Amino acid sequence: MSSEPTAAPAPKQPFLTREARSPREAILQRLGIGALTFLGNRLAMVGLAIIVLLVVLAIFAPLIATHDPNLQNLRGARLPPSATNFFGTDEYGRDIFSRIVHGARITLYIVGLVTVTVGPIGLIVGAISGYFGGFVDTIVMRITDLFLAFPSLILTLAFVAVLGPGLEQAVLAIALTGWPAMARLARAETLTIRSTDYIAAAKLQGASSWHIIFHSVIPMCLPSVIVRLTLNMAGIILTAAGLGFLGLGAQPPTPEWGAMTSTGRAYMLDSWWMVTFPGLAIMIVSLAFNLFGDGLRDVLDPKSN
Amino acid sequence: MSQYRRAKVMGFLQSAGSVAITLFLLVTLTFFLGQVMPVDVVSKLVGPDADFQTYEAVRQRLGLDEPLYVQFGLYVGRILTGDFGTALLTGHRVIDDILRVFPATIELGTLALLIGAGIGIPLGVLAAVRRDRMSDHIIRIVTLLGHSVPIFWLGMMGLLVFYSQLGLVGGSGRVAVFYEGLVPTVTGMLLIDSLLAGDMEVFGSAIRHIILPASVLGYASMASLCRLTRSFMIDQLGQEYVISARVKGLSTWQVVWGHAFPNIRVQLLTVVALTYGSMLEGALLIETIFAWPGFGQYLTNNLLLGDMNAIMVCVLLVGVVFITLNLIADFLYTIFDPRTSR
Amino acid sequence: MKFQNTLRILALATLLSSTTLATQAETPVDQLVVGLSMVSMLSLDPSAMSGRESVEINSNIYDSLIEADPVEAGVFHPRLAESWELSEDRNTITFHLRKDAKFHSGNPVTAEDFLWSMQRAFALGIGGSNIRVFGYNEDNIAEMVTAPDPYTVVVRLPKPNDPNLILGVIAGAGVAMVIDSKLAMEHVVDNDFGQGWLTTNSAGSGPYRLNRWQANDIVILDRVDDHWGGQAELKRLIFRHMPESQSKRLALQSGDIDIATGMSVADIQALQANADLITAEVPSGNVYYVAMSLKDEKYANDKVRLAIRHLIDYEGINETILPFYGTFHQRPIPKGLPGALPDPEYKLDPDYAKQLLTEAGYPEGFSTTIRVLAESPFVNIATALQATLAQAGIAAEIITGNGDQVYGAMRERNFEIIVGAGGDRNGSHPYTSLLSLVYNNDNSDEAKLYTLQAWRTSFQSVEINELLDAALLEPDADQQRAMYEDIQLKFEESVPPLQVISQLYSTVVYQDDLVNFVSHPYQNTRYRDVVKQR
Repeated sequence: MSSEPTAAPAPKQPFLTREARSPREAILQRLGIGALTFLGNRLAMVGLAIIVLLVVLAIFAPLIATHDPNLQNLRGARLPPSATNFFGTDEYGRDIFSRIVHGARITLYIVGLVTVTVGPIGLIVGAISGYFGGFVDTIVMRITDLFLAFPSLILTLAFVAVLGPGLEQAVLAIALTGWPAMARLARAETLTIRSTDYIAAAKLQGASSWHIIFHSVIPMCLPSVIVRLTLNMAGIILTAAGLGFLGLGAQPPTPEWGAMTSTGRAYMLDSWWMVTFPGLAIMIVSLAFNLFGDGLRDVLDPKSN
Repeated sequence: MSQYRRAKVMGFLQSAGSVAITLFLLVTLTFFLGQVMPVDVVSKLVGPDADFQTYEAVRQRLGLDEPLYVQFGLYVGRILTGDFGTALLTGHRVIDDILRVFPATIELGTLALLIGAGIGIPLGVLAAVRRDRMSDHIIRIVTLLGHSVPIFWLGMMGLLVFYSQLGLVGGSGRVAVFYEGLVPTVTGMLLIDSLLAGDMEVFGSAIRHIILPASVLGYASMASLCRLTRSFMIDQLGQEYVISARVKGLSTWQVVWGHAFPNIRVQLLTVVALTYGSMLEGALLIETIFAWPGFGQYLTNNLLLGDMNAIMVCVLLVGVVFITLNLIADFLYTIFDPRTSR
Repeated sequence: MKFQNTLRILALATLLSSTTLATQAETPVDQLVVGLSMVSMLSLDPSAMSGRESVEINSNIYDSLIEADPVEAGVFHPRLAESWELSEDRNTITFHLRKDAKFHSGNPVTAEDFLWSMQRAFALGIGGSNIRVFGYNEDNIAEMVTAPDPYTVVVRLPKPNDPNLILGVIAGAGVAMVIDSKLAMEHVVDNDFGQGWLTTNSAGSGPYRLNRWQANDIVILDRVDDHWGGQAELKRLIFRHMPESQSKRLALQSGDIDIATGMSVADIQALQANADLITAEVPSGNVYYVAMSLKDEKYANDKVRLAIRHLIDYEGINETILPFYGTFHQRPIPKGLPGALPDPEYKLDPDYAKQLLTEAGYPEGFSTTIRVLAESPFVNIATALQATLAQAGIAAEIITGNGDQVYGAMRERNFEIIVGAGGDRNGSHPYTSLLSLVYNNDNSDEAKLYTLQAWRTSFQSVEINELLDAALLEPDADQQRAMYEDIQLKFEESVPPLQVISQLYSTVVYQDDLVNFVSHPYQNTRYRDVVKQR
């Protein structure tokens, strides 16, 4: 995948462009070049800005929201957007704007939880599988084959069918289907890293396999796994929304955007705002993650440059 | 050279062996998914008002009181002999159901892919040629939107605008309801069947109904095909032969379509094969929105109903389709592209 | 860039606020298209009683001995039987069959076919719950239902009962629909009484025959030409699976379908303005209820149950959630039946409820769960209940599920609160309503009296049981009515774990060019006389 420095270090070059002398240097170099390229990518910055906005929305949701997201008012149901209800109200008279603002928490919760589960598991499994090879590798690869043989939504659905509908179950199901791709990537990275000089040097110095995996291999895999995780985030948002839409994700009255779109569907002809705004929210956030991930990929995957 | 190819074929057969293992794992996985599913099929069958005697009788008749390993053995045995059983709830033979719904999805998917590839590939080439210029950025945003928009939402918006508001296209279903069952089923694909029967009325109605879901589904595949085409093309445009062709005085487009494009055809073909598979995923949601009686709707319905038998066969089928498509993609790549020598 | 796109989509969306249709199609004059949800249609075998839609479709393929009047409760009309009489001791009903009735196969319809159809349902163990109630079972059915000659059927009652109830079952239920036994026997596999074959084929004597059934997709019925009872007007009946209310609304407006059932309140309201469409409300005997489990420590407390009774917004629910689907009602016997009483007028009163909870030892409230079907209007009722419970400090979590998950928990007697519907869905007799909602003759877990809501909530009152048993056999109508009234008052007094909140209706919307279309409250809607007049 990525081209790694193999020749002996050349003297007197700027830090960012010279050959790395240690794993730590290699990582710092990558990050440094990356940061510079990234800052120059306007679309990626827009994505980042939206993500920051999303995080702010989520943290300060109670302050930003104009209403209690779960407060019902059956007599004020399905009101069109107005100065009091920016995005209108839903079938229980709840304020859609406030629900979307609070929904940012759900979205971040899903994305965050899936990512912190999938990342480490994929990374560790992949690194171990790639570093040791042999029987372990074969088993892991067959299992990932099996998982990767499915479109993720279908497998997620199958897991949700087993786990039952709900927010936690949805997160678990998405994570269950997500880790094999990470493991695959980490394994591929490990295979290239394993043959580099500094790993050989570390081995000569008598470092244990576990030490090498955790101190050299995994940090080196990190950048590409992070890019992939970021790129995955948009997918996670869409899968979660799809689950919510099918009624298998977060359960009422949780203001999950997919579920909101799904409920809105029943009132689509008269109350367009009930589907339009949650749908837009999903699209904008997912677009932001895509822009951001795209920028990151340009930065960290040398092949696309 | 031929020896080289033979080695490739051997490698391919070897991977076919590992595919067999994957398939077995798949069968096991589907079985256990079916087992742990927290759905009480019996109570569905007998209805909410049934008494205990009825409940128990039905449970026994379905063989649900046998021990697990017996059920697993029976399951594997039946799959191997090509007997996919009947749906627990409706009593219909699952294979008949699938043979009925699959053509509907293939029809939708194929049209969507034609739309997606027809627009996505030229756009991708354009973006590569105009790299980093305005048109590239616009295409980039359009394709990223395709990756970002929830497909079910786009479908709903499409229905609102083009069906309910403008009345330009047909609503849900494959054809206006009163045309159902008028054309004899030959291929199961209504567009083809109605043409075979020479029934232009049904054909027209079918076109009006398929065009919107196919476009929405096509947009998603257009997005990924466009992006991949762009990156393949950029690779090619950096090659020396392109520069020398340019030096010889050929125009940009002559080089692109005459020299560079043929070189990415195989790559594109494999990508298209894989996109075809991933279309199943979009079909799942799109078919729900458009009440399209295809595989996606069949699967979701059975998931919601908890019909283990039907779900197991569906998941098995999806697995087989995907593994096959991957295999085909691998095979195409190995045979035609000498650069992949892994 | 992104904002331009956003704006464009927004603009598209705003376009939709004014809904007009460019095209107005029409269904062909000799076909009828019905849009409905087929999710609960699991079998078209008449013996397998599940799903109202199956019963409706089978009512047009198969015939019963007699038919219940779609409007007047307790009135029956001849069909396969030209006449019937009740014995002096009210224990035997004798039916005399007409001799010219023929199955689609050409076989004559005989008493033997009726017996075979009945016995088959018991032998297969599918359905038949609603007839087992009267004491019929696989051992005595051959003895209780006999045919002294090919055109006479004698039905005996296994235990003393009100014969009108038996007539109701024979008129309405799938088990009493007559199957062409000769034809079905030709397709028997593994002693299945032709069940496998009958799931996708029909063997009836009705005005239509099954052309195709694709689960959760479509059912097409073709007319039987030169039918013995007179040929139906419409050539094809098409039932299309349309679970979404909005699709049905659009299809009705654009003339793609003739009849739609199960539409949402908002959509029915929107269609009221359309002069080409007619809305008909069809009553049923089912009621919506809030049920608590007495097995739960909290709800075993009378004061807590009384508090819950005053934490339901009856008016709000009936006015905003249930128009077209329910009317204000708080008692087990549906309005219009003998024994029905005026409502006790319970009201939402959070302050009183809070006081009761404090007395019960829950001054801060408690947390609980509400199980409910994940569909309208049930989930809407649960959400409304959740909000009113919160006013007294009760934090309720809503657990949605499909039918078997929700009612499965209820059958296991393992739940806290369930919002559901139940009762006697035909609503033709006060006894069946009370039986379903207040009667429980064995409160042990092992009894598994699944059909009794009282057993499901672990409610048992020996006094009520005895009164109901006595009322059933009371020959004097006035006396009987007084007993039914008494039972309801005693039930209310005991602060039962099941609180009725509304009487269930269903609403059908159809094109005004349909003539002779009467939606049947017992799901026996028959289309043989329906004509399109344009």
